[in-house]
Amino acid sequence: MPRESKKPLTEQEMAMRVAKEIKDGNCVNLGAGIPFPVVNYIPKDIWAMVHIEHGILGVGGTAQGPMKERDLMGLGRRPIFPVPGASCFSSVDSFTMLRGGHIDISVLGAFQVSEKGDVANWLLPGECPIVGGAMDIVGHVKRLIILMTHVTKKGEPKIVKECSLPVTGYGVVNMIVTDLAVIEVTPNGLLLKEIAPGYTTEVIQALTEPQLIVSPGLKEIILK
Amino acid sequence: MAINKVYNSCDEAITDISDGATIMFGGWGPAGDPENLIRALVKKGVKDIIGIANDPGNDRDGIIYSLYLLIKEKRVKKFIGSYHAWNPEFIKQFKAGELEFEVCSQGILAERIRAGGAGIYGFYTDVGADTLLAEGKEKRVINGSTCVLEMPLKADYALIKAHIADKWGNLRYRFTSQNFNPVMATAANVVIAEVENIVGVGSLDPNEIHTPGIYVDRIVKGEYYAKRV
Repeated sequence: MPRESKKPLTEQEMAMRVAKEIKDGNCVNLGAGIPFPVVNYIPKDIWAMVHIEHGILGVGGTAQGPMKERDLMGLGRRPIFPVPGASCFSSVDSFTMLRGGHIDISVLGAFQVSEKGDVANWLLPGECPIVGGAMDIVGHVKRLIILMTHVTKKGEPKIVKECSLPVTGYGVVNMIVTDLAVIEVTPNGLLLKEIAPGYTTEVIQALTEPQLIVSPGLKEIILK
Repeated sequence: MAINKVYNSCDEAITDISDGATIMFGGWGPAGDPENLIRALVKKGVKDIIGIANDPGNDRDGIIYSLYLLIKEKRVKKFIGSYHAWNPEFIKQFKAGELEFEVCSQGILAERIRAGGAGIYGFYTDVGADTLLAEGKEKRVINGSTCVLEMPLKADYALIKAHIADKWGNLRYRFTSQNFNPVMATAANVVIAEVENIVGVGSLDPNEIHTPGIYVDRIVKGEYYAKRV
């Protein structure tokens, strides 16, 4: 049988995969970068409200053309539009929702995730810090999903035994979705559940620092 | 009504702000940005500012917001906020040691300001308690979680932006332009609100006021708003 060539997920496909984690009734916080486009792939047959720290619950997506409003700004200072049922509020309320454990899922980017579920996403050596709201979010939302490329631009693993970068939160990550794999953080270690088309568990393991536990139900990432 | 909080121009509204003032700036990106007041501050030449805001602002495709102009002209000596907003001048001054940056997770920043405005002398939180940001902070274990003591923030002035004000200073905001504005309105000695419209007392529905007029000292209609977003 001819081997299918390796095909990492595009950023769009990564967002599509994360969207499958959202269940009916969920309130979901989306971070800057790759996570925000998840808003475009939430299944149409469920009721889910997207929260961003700017102070809105019920984001529909990026606004186009005449819908652009300077008073309705989202991540990356891009205009957004609200869905029916949306509400707007202050930063105090926005973070009460996050810190108070009212948000079901948060999807954030990261520099590194450790096998214990530690996440580092606020400080690179010699750089200016960029906390944003990350420290309020991690450890307080019911479920934290990290969405990131599997390796750095230099090809170094971002899933590591111990974070070498300053940590944002310890033991806070529930799931890691990358362009190559879907991994669940369990008390026993990292459980490899899905892999990108054309990849083998050996190739994924070679790009991941800690030992992965291969799920008995391992399958190819399905987007639809 | 005897009391008059309405000023004729942003220049007049900020005329007593002097060098070294601690100033809170509402807004996040162009939403809720007190841009006319900030331009007046730049024009007046106020320097050695201790600035408190979500971020130090930037120039995004010609939309200039937050402290961008003040930082560009090196008028800010210390900034308390949650991230750098990729403001190149801010990053440059920070790396050169010319500008002190007290970084604070965004929700804790809001809560410290809330404490400042609400007569709370400090609060414990587990946010960042096991990170580098906890260094030097008093710690205490509460219900099994390590927490740090966070101190309140207050300012000499708060420059905020709302959509509409009545002449007593009751304010309403639109969409995501609330952000830090309502909480900052509670935490400064002098609160100056820049708005797009000023209406008579009684014109706003009491059920729909976001910031009650008690918090607002000065109201001014912003002179110019860029249409483009």
